Amino acid sequence: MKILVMCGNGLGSSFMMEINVKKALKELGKVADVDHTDLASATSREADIYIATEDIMANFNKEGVKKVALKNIMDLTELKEKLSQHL
Amino acid sequence: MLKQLLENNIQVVESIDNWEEAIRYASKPLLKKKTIEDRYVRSMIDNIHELGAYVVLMPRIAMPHSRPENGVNITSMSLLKLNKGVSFSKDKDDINLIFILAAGDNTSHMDAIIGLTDLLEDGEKIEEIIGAANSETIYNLI
Repeated sequence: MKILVMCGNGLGSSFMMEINVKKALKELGKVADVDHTDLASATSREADIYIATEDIMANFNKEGVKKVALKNIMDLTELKEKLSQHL
Repeated sequence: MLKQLLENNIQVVESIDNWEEAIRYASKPLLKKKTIEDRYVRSMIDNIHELGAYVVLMPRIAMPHSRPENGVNITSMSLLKLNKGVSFSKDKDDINLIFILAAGDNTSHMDAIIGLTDLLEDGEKIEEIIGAANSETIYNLI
């Protein structure tokens, strides 16, 4: 399974989310490839699940893919709850 | 690395009228040291106009940033603490801590981000930082 975390620039908040997604997966006992990128590049990259903040997800127009939109990127409870629905 | 990057780059201010001014103020130490150029500040602001307040990491904390090619000379960070929070978005809580991130390339800031992630997970410490009276106290808490 491949998870792609996105933010506007692909280097700040998305990397922070990647750290937390890896923590969440570990706590959920799941394994996946996790990478981070910017919104513009994400459209052309294939992944099973796309994760971003709500603001960024509103600008992500790829259809027919699994999406997780977060309110608070530091909230592991929110992340685990939303992510586990797709695992 | 987070602490090293923030050395002498922490400011404490009572309040600032709006988020754009707050980003400009927070960037001052980096502009003075020339680790970033004016256009980087504009780029951080433009990014938020374009994509929304995604730099709000969690309630009360934001990390404005743009890309290396938009005016970063050296990887650097600064922190502005506002005693009275400023609004970045009407849907989100007001912001008290503004961490300006200037990444000189795609990787050299990663240790600092890992350090910041650890810090943000420590709710008590965040409360202490938000309640701190001056920049020295904040530096010692990080």
